[in-house]
Amino acid sequence: MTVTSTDLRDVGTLISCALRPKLRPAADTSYRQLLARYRTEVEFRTATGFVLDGMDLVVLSDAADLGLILGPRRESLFAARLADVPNVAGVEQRLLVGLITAGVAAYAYPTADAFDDDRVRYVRVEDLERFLRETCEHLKREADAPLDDEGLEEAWRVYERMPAVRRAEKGRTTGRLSPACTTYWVGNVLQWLTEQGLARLAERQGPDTYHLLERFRVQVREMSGHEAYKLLADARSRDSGLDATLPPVPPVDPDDVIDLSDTSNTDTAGTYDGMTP
Amino acid sequence: MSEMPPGEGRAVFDATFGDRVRALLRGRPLAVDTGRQSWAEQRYDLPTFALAAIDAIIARQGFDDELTYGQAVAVVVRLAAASHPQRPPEEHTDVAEHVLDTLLNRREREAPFRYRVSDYALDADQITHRAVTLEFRLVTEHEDAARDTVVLRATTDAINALVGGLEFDVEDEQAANDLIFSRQLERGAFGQAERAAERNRGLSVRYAEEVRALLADTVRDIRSVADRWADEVPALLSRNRDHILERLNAEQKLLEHVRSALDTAEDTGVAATAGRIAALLEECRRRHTELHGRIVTARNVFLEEQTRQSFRPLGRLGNPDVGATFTDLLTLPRKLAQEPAETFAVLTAGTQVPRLVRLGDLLEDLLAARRERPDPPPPDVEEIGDDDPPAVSPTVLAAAAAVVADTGLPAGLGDLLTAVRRADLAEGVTADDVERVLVLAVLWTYAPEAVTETATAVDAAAAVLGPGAVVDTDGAPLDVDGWAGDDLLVAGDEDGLYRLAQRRAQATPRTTDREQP
Repeated sequence: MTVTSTDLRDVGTLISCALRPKLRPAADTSYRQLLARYRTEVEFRTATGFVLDGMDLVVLSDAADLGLILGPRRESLFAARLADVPNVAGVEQRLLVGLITAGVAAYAYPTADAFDDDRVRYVRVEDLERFLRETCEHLKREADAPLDDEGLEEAWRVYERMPAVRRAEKGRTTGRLSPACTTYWVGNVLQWLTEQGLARLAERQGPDTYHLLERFRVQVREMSGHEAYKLLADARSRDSGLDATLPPVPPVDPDDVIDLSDTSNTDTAGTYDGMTP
Repeated sequence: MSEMPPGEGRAVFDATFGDRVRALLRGRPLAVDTGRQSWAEQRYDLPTFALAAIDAIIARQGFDDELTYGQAVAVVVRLAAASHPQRPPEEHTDVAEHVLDTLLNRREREAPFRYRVSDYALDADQITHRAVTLEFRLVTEHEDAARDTVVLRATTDAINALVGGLEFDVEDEQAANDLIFSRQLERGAFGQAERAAERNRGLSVRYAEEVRALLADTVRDIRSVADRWADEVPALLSRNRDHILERLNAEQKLLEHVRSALDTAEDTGVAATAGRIAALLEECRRRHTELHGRIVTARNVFLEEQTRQSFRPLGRLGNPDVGATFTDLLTLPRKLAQEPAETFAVLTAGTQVPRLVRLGDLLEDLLAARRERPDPPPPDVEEIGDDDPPAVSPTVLAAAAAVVADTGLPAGLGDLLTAVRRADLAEGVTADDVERVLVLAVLWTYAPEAVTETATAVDAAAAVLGPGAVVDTDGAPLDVDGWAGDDLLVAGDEDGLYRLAQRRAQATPRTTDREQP
């Protein structure tokens, strides 16, 4: 049996559906039928896999009710862009978004086993902020005096330095949370995850409460959890341990930084000097 | 430690004693605390409400239409209203939500219930004591993606607590129930028969839950249950299959029995009860049939998962420990943490399709007046600034599309605008309107960020420029009276855009690229 042109068009339709995370198979007949083909026909599945591979995407889950969940490789054209998160302008905001996203996952799924329990997780902005702050303060108690060099100071200091709440005092946003406080960023990240189809506002559970969707669990369990772990292990092996007897590392410069990422990634990742290209 | 009392008091050391204590404690959250609720004085029967809610949840558990929070609340509201008809309906809802929230342990953020229990043991006639923490949940919430809602499920603990047994063998218990049920029917004791039927249903649910958990573990990580599949599962499954077929037969027989009772019953009360039991038995049968289907395919699930998971990269099998990852991220120096942190966010966020550009943003961009204009803004701008995008008449759209088609893409925006002024326009269509629509369409295709969904605007721009149009700028200024800004490059596709950009780069000073019609 060979894959026909009709099959390839169906592959395209299926991928188009999968690229819309808020589209549910239950609500779309052709999505449901194509997903069923993907789940049962080996050739169709293989063809889809190859097309996706060319798009730098991998299938993370093909559950009948959730739909085809795709994970982009970091360099994929279809990977989410941190620069699209509101108020993300530079390296520091991107770090914050990264830390808070990992914080959401750690808060909702504190242990590896927790990922096996599919009960609904609620995240309240205020609780999450407190969790992150307490984690940082705990680290602060154990830490030495801060270093002068921004690149060498620990990541938690970025979060810890920012006040939990600050409201704009003038302009048309008066009274609203200002991007100079962490509560704003926690809410901002949850809002972003909501737009990506990974969470949903659960107003019945109280204001600023989000319900993390199954998709979030799949995405972290199958993709980001492992990839971040690999990168971390890699990064730790480069960490000199901040030993004072070692010659000082020169201040961060872009050339130095490009070494940190895979050479294949330099287009989309590893720029530390502000704007994404 | 103290001396062992002779004779009495030894039960506390029995192996089953701890189980009994645990069983007792499972009911403790049902003794719902009224707290400082405004209705605390009203003596609502909260434990009954809680048990009724769990029963209602179990009745639908495992089916396509599992109970939602709202439906569970409705069940309890009916009970509350019946017992306190003089109280306002809002209070009934408050009471019902309080009961459900207690079962979910909302107050402690859905954490499991925790109780300290004692574990006594006898060691050379000395009593030793150990405090053990008992943790359990009664009701949990789960996402039902097919219905796009959140549904409630009773945990095994709750099901056990409700059916009243402990670690008994499901099949034996069911066989026993069956016997009781037959006898009750013979004696015409329908009230008891109904309760027995309900117990049977509860057992079926628990049974289904066991099989579901086994299959879920198998799908997740076959290694975690490989031993069970090798030793006990095949025997268990074949035994279960026989058992279910037997149950289906038995319940069919009972059903006929009940129906015959239904036909001959003279007492209307008995007839009503028999009717309810018949419905209950039908539901049991439905459950067994479903469970049967699950068991029959279980072996295939195992084989499929074995194939599937053996090709899965090894690193993927375990779950990630994000708690540790998070702490590691925080403690790394910033410049080393940056890349892993960003990667975590990007890969968690999943896919994002390069966005279509939308009219709503264009309007904002236009109003933002980023560039200095030589002229005061045309008075139309205020109209455009309304929340509802102004409707553009189809004739204007058609005229704009005609000009674009006549000029041909790729072309510069300036050329298009000039072409509008030269074109013969239909009656009632002014060059100003056409120019404005054209500029809107071009700018909108160019402006990259979009938030609002405006399908009509998508269609409008596609109608003017064509569905695949792309717009970019090379920084050359626009040289048309009444307009300021960049002379944007407009093309039907990426290739066209590239050719136009090349042409314009070569032609210095810039000249018109093509003959105007």
